[in-house]
Amino acid sequence: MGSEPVIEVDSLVKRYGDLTAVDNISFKVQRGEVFAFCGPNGAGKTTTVEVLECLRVPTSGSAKVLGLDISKRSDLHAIRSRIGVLPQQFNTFELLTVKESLEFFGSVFDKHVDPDELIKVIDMAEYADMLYKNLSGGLKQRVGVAIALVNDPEIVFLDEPTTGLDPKARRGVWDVITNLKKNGKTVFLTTHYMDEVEALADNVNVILNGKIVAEGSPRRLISKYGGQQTLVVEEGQVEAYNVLKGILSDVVMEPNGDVLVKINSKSDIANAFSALDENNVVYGRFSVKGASFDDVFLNLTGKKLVEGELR
Amino acid sequence: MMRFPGLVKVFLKHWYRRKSTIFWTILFPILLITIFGSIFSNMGQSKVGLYVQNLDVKDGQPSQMSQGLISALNSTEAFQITLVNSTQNLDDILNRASNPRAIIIHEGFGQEVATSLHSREASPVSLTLKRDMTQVADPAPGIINTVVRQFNTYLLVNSTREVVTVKEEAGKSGFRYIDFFIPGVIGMTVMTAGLMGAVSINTEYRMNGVLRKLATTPLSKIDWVLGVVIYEIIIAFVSAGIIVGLGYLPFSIFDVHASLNLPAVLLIFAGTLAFPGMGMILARFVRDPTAADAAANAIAFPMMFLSGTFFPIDMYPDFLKPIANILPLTYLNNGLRAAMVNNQPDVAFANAALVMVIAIISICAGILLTNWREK
Ligand SMILES: Nc1ncnc2c1ncn2[C@@H]1O[C@H](COP(=O)(O)OP(=O)(O)OP(=O)(O)O)[C@@H](O)[C@H]1O
Ligand SMILES: [Mg+2]
Repeated sequence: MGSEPVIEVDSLVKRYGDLTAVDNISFKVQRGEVFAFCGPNGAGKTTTVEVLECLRVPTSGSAKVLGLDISKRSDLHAIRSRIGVLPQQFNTFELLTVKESLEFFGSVFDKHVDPDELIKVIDMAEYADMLYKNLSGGLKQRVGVAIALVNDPEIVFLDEPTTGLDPKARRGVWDVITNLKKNGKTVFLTTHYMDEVEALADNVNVILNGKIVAEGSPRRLISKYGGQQTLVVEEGQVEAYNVLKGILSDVVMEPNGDVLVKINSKSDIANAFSALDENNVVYGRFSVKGASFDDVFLNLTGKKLVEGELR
Repeated sequence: MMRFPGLVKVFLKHWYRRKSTIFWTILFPILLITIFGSIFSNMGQSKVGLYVQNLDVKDGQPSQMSQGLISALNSTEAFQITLVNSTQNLDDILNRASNPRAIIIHEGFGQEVATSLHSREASPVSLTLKRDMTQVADPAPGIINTVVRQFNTYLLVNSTREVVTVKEEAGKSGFRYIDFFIPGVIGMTVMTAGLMGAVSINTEYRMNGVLRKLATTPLSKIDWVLGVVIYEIIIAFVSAGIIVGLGYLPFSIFDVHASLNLPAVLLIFAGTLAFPGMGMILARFVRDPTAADAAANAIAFPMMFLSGTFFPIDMYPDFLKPIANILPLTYLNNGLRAAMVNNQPDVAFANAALVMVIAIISICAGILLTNWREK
């Protein structure tokens, strides 16, 4: 992954009347990376990607996609020919089969990939002749990804590709995305799932109320914003709670009886372990949990992000 | 590069995979024809209408001979006789009549019959029967000939010589409801397919996000509008072809030899351009799909009734006539009638030109108002 930016956004603003959906953001996406745009509902993710896909006209600021200017009419055709898009809440023609849909979308581009090959990419050979409307949600999303690939695009935009899918279907979509990266595609992914960011993204921008509040690799953001590690005393109950409360400051008990302790140094762990031992406290497992991307969000906003909503 | 043919193919696939569209574009018009055709073809069949113009009049008094003949016709009780006097223009009356049939008793009829009775060599005196010769099953000539034969027997007592004879003449082709209705049904199908089809395609695909997906590809909004319109044109010709074709089948439910000639084709073409354009304008302003469908219905149904689809506009109350005159379907219907059954190509072409102007305006507006990129 070199330093060849394929997307450059500079001071982008998009207003809908009085509402500023995207508030003066700038960022770059490098060729070949999976770039995640992460934020709660209404943060401005879709607005941003749709500006880059030339579906919306920005209020001010500029953006270049593959070196082409999204505000220039003469560049639109070239941009559309070289990008692939999975819109949020994607749908294609209900009464076409998977293969027919791929053939149709292929016919719209000057150059296109063989439908059978795409069906292999999304691993749906046995569904090739099934009508789109009869597919499950996860398979529909995979068809959407395949359609986004019909023109062998350099950049693939995936707007919330796994929202509303069950865990198994999400894994299926993740596998497809991982393969895209292997094949050298640049992927622009929006999501409000933290595990998705951790599993897939090389770089992530956290967007909140139209502003980018954090950027970097997930690992870097976790170490910067993830906060302390947590000691977990499973099923420690009140006994463990009372013992640990005596020696450490930040102790909470979960409703299921697990006792969680924020730790500041290695000696905290040793002290906790011996205190429990000395007092003959009975408990399940004793473990240390590293910070996750969830904590990044919690520390940035003071709230948890659950199914796109800040709680 | 033209990208719309692929879209047309996609729409056609949806058309035949979705049973409801087949119903509305093909079965529904045929159903209407069957129902309306059978209701109105039996109407007023109990008595046969007959105009009688008695020109054998002297000093305002019809001759005895002509009077005798008329009462003989009357006594059969088969005819609903309307007397036409010598100052009225019989051809005008027949042109407007729904059953154009007339007996003309010419001037000097009574005198000629009297002369003929006394001379054995005299040729028979003729009566003229004007009627629509295309009506094969017309009972009138048979009844009239029987009456005339009895009239001869009565005059001559014991002879079989013919004194009076009936000479048939072709009048203007009669007005048959089904002739009127078939072009109307085609006009109606073109209108509903175009207006409702375009509205439902546009709102459905906008709501489910397919339009947004298409907008991210090199497909332009002109491709989109052309795709919709060309699809509607194909559907309109398929249903018009089926309706016209059914009229030619020997065992057909209706027998109308309508012709799908050049002006008719132009009219169907122009109509199918005009109505999707309107549909797209409507879809642009009414964004919710159910509301848009309702609005399309609210426009399509009154237009259907007010544009002379089912009944001639002449029969409408006066206050409705100006409304009919501003509805595009009126011109489509009038044009199709002129082209397909009345054989008046000039009238047909004039209406086709007018519908084409409406089509061009509405298609341009449709293209301009379709938003591909959100502002
Ligand atoms: N066409 C529009 N007109 C007016 N307001 C809009 C429009 N599109 C989006 N918005 C508003 O702009 C804000 C940002 O919306 P956007 O769809 O970009 O958010 P998002 O991050 O994609 O959210 P989600 O996770 O729900 O998809 C929201 O408050 C939304 O209501
Ligand atoms: Mg969104």
